[in-house]
Amino acid sequence: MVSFERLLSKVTKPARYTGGEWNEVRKDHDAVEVLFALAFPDVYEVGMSHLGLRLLYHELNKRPDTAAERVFSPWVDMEAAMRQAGRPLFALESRAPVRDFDLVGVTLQYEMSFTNILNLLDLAGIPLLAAERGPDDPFLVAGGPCAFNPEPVADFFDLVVLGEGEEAVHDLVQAYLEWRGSRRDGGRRARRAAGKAGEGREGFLVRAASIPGVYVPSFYDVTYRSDGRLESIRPNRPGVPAVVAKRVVRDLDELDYPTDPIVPFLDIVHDRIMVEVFRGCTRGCRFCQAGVIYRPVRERSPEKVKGLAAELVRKTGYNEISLTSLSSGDYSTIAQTLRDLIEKHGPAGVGVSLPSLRVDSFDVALAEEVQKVRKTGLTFAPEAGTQRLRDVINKNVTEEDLLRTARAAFSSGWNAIKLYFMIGLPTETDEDLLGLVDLAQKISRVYDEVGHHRGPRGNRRALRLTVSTSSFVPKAHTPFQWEPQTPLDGLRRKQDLLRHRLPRRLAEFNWHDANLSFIEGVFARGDRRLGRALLEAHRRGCHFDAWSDHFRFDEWLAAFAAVGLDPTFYANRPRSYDEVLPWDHLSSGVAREFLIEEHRRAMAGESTPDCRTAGCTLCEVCPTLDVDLSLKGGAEASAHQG
Amino acid sequence: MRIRAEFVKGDRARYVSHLDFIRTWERAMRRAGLPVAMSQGFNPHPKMAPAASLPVGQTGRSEVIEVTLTEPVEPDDFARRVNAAMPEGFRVTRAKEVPAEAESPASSVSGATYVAWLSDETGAAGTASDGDAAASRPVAEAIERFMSAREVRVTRKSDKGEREVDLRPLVFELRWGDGRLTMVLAAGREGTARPVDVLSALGLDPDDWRVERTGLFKAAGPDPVKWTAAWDL
Repeated sequence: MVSFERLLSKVTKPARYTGGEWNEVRKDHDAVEVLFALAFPDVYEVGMSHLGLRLLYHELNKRPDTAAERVFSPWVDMEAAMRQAGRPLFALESRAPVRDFDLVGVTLQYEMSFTNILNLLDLAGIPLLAAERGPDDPFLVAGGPCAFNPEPVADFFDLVVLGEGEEAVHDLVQAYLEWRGSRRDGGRRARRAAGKAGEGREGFLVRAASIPGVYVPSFYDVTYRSDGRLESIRPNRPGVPAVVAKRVVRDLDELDYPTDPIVPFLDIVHDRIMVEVFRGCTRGCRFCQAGVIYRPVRERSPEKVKGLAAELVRKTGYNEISLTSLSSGDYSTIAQTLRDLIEKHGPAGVGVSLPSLRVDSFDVALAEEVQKVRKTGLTFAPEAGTQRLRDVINKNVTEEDLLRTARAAFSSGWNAIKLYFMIGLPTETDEDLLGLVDLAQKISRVYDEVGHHRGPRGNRRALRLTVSTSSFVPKAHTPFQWEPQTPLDGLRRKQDLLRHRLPRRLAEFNWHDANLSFIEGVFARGDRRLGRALLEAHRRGCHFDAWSDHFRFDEWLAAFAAVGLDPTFYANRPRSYDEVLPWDHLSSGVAREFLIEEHRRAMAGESTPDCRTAGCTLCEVCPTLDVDLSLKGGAEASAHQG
Repeated sequence: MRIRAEFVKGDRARYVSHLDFIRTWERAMRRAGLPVAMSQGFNPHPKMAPAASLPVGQTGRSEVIEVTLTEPVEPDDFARRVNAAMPEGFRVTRAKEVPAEAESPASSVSGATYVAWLSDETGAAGTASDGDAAASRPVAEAIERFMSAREVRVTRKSDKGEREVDLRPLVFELRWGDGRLTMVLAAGREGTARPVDVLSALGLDPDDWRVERTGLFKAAGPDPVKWTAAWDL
């Protein structure tokens, strides 16, 4: 066999494949009971930037009986070299083949990474279809946001974990050990073959299905109506829940947080300390899936955050602390926490940052604190160009807010602003798109009015305004899950309109590939039949679809045609409230009635306030999951929010 | 205070690129609680100066780096603390304080020694490392041809494109014995001969060979015996 080293001599960035970083956990496989691979279906630099992977790596590796190791997609050059050499996919820590692991966890971060998952399995030599796996194959476990509609990949996974995984993975490992028995009583392979009581693979799945939050796709039958819509999704055996509800961690302060994360050699996408300050977001943007599936808001206390930050600085050697969450400006004690962190760590040259400085939830004085060292750009996300449309999507930010913040930012010396918008939102008209141009012009006027734009060396600086548009993709579990996605020609027309109407000297205009958004739209609300299209796309060589150089739209269309599925049926068709949706058996804890009510309010242009400040909006997540909204800032927090 | 350290970049770390290696040092310093001085200016950076960069894939047996600290630290203590904070594959072997006016290895290094051997996994290693006469003869002959040539044109590829250089004057010495190729090459501002280019020029496939840098020097004249080691500058 061609040696590992010879493979590495031929590829770019070989450090993606070698492991050996600071804080890597390497265990003797003979000294543990369970081998758990954690796979991220993208390259190292992307996967290593993901906090969830680090949390699970930590949870699993703190078990003396388990070795958790990392797996990433090899870049195309490495993949070619591996295939040519006949070398199967390996885990970084031990370089052992992934197919020798007991459990392989795969995160479903994004629909357009699905083909990479199939490619990983193929490279690992693991049968793609769960039904075709045998006694020697590992169990494939899915998690992550797309697990809330995993139906397009349901055929490829043995089981799916809904919601937060820190506690669920322990239940899973426990169930596995109970099913298989100790490997001291027989080889790992031999035991995996039958389970302790000779239950076979299915025996483990039965045990796993009784764990809260675990969904075993093969235990559910899906039937379809003659028009192609779903008729029903029902358990096909007794003892399996009709609806699987997600897992949530009640109190983040009680949760163990890794303070010795791996520090990569490579310059990864988010190369800094990440301290998660809270989970969930209740701003209630109606297009946002994260805002539903991660509810309710649970904060980590500022004391805990500061303690973790200090320990992480010591143990990683990073010189930047990032306070992460879905919207860190909303952390109830953000101002005080930032000041405390800057005061403590600033003198040692360690900076503090927020992942995206969303000015709509942030004041400029704070932004200045954060960016004392270097002033990078500010980001605004008005999402829509007119107040009417912002009310429809429940983006509760006004033009006055934006202009006021922009004025303050310009006065403090900022000269670069990015504006994020979505196009193709429900009820959107050309007037809304032109409102976006209008808003950009107003911001430019504010810049001219403020009038002192001098760089650090006294040079005159022009405004650097960027307008970025993405295409709206309706997502499962959101109030817009019943809405059609704007068809491709419509998206292109909207992009063209903006290209022509947004003066080039005013702003740099970026837009997302509409074709990619369309395919994403298909899978975001797809059903189980789409697994065939995925397989076909995989066979046609589709992979790294999210990387524009590798996305092959024509192959995707050919794949749908080859398996006889119409992608527009999934992306562009309106659903009625009584239609059975492919994810109806999977619950985020948020009531369907709440989503319907939110959809109705959207169509009526009515906004809904944030439950953190304006009282309960009856989404039902707290009573359903027996968990509470938890703000660690108390009364002061509410005042800040107001 | 200016500290000079000699370190090993070993097998486990040999795929770490030069830029990544600098970041690794920076972070290890912080983990070790060593107070590195920062440069002045708009974009301050820690004052650390490796004597020479090492290509991805190569190991280094006695690499040299200098670090400026804001507080005095015992050199032995420095080495101990860095080693406790370094990932596998990097190891400081010795450290010493150098006077502020001492010559800087980063600007003075102009020569380097290397050893290359057939990689174990190629399957061909056995014959060569046993010093098998038949296998060794072609290498010895290639060396002789190389050293007696007036010039050896090679094409060097970089991001900026291709360019031709004469490798011959940049190669001071090549020796073959016991399956090991020892090279004494120019390495610095006045010109650099890359070991992979030398291997290719000898008709050997660089992918089959492991390369280790064994020393860094300030070259003075063609006789390596008279060179000064970077450590001693």
